Amino acid sequence: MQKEIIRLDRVTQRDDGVTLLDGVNLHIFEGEIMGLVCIDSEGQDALVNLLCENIPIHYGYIYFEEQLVNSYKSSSMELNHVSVIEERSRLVESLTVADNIFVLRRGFKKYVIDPRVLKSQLALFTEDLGIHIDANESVDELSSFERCVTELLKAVVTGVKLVVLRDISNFIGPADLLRFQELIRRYTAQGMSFLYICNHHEETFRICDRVSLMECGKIRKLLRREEFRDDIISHFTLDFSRPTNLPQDSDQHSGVLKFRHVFTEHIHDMSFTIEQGECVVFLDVNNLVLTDLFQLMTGDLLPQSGKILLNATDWCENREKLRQHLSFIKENPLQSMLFREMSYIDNLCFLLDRKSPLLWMNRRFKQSIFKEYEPLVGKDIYAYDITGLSPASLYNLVYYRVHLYHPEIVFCIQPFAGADMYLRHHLVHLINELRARKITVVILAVSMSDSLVVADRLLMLEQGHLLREYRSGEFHLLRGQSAPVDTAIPWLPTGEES
Amino acid sequence: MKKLQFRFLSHRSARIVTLLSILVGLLLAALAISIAEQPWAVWVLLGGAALLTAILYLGHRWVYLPYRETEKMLNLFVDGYSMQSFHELRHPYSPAMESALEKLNGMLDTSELINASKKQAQYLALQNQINPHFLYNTLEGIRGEAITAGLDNVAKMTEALSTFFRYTISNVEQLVTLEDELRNIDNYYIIQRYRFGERINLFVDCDEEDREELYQYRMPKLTLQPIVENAIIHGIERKIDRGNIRIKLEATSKRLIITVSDDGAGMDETRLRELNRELETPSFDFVKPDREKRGGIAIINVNSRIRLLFGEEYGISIYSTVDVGTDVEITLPLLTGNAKEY
Repeated sequence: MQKEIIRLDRVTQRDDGVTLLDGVNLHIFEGEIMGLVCIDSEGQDALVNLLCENIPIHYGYIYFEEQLVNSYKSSSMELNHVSVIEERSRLVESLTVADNIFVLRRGFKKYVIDPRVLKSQLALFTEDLGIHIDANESVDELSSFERCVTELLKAVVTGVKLVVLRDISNFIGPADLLRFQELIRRYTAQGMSFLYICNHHEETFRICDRVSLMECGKIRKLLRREEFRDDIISHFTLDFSRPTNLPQDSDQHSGVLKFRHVFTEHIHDMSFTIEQGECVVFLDVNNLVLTDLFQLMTGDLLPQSGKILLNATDWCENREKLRQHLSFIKENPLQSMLFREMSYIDNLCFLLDRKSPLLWMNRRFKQSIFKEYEPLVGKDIYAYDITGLSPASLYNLVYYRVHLYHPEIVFCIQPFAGADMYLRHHLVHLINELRARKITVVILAVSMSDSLVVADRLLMLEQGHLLREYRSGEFHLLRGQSAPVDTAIPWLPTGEES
Repeated sequence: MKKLQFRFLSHRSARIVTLLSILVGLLLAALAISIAEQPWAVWVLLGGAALLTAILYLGHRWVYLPYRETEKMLNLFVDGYSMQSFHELRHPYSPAMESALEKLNGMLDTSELINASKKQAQYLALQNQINPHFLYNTLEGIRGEAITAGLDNVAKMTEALSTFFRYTISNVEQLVTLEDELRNIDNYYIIQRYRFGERINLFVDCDEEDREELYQYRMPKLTLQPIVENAIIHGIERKIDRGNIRIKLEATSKRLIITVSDDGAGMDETRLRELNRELETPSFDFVKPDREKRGGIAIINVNSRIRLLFGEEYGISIYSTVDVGTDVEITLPLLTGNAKEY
């Protein structure tokens, strides 16, 4: 007989007349890792909120440890023993690890706190797990992996029964993800339960005991381990196989971007060449060097030694002049790259004024842009207010802005992070549109996600070093290798596909 | 539209309260102006404002929130989410309304509904009003003749059919063990195998350590068979290839969870939404069964019976996808050996 930790029974949640959750059934047993693959992002936030707090629901019943804690008849507004680990930290950044784990918890009543005692208490956990985290280190100094471990330990110490893990592969590198999954398994064996939410079914199949597929706030299918098969999941997913009409490698191997023995605080002796028109993915296994790489290319950081050449010109000395050859698409671009108070067309033309300073005064420019881009983005191009547009349309705006600007290289930071399946499919299309325009695409990622669908080359980085390079014909090798790094990357095309 | 809404007393009351509030506000303002010169005016106004706030707070707690709750419960009943909500109104609008609801509850007496549901279960089983004793005797006769003629397959099939009918027709009101239900499913499977051959496979899946314990839990008779029948008729039969039916058994300290999954044709989104809607809506179809609809109401009847017997927290949920299959999850309370009848 199994012990049930949480049970959602036909839960319907509505907000302002919009149905966020529609008759959701979900039960998680003690010591189980339950997967939740969100085909689209609808209802995910509402579900996590409901797991954490007993807020009013439209209909249904919620049981925690077999006790009714929330129903359509009455909602206590109390918190459940549930912890959430996600990209946004829930720790107090300015306090130490030990303070966060031991002091900031319900029921802690000591007035005099001895840091040595906290340190020894933390050591009991970390030594057992084989992980080193300094108890006195400030949380804002921690890496993503360490921060997640700290949050997990906090959950263990506070006696949390269920931990919700949201898209952890978006911010933990593959090697660390593997280590973290080991920790999850360890605590599962001790009776803790996990809800593993992510957008890739392959990721959940590796670790979960059961997986629910959610779409439009509804559970579409509950898969048990014996049903973790591609022929079943293919009915719920879009085709992410590699398109055959990708632009081929150019014959000219002059190299548009070259790194020669570059050193920074985190990068160690990095050398590579990126050719014109190709798509290269940098996979940072430890999530250590991507920020440095990004800052080197924005000009916010200069290498301690080594050379960066853009079109055979020294980048460091001529970066003001060369900057217009580069463009950047940041992580979560809908939040960070759009101007809500500007119209669609003004947003679209935003970068273009670097090349044509008189753009804003010339109506004919805009007319020709309307004419050229309307077939690509549709009637949304005429929108004065972009706040009401769909995410797909806003992604169009971000990517077609670069398409219109036509830089030599565009750097995309984690383009697929946090996007649901439909959006990821759309993003693949948009990246291919950039490639069709002969723009070199460089993807900086800590998670492989769907990058290889568009990539010509994968450069794997570990501990600041360039570990290995894979060409598209070799991508299938990643699937079969025994190295720990690669086993954490299950969503790779097979040899036949590549 | 506004005229139509004004027909309701709730709307009229809201208007009157709004008007009264405006009037009180105006009176307070007038009072404030007229006594503004007096030294004690501030205290009077503060007292008046505090009194008004207290009255508004009480009105919110005593009238508005209970009114909202009653509205929600009634809407849930109307939308088909819950029948229990209708029975459990904590704040009726007036004594007359309470009496009317009590009267209605009496008319929809649960035990009456349960009886009607049992009859419907029998009806489903009997299908064409077959005389049971005549049927047993005939089947035994056929079996005897088949053994004499050396037709072992016919004898086995007849035995399975005879056992199946005996179980189906007798004592529908009993709570049976899960083992009994699964044995009946086994008989039903034997019969269907003669029709479908290797095309169908049935598996019962549970934790081996718990099997013996699980098999002793009790449930309403004929809960599983209509669902397995649906899986075969609407799932496997429509599929060209081989089909599998898996019965997964799980128990927690309070619940028995049985999931019947098939990898058959599945159903489209519209049909699934319709079916789930029918499952959620309190159904009284079994009171006056429509013989034409027989195939469609079996699963709804099983769900209604479970909810009438054990409450709305239990029942059936369905997940289905075209070309993937259908999962029917049955949730029941964990009943042990003492519970025999309902």
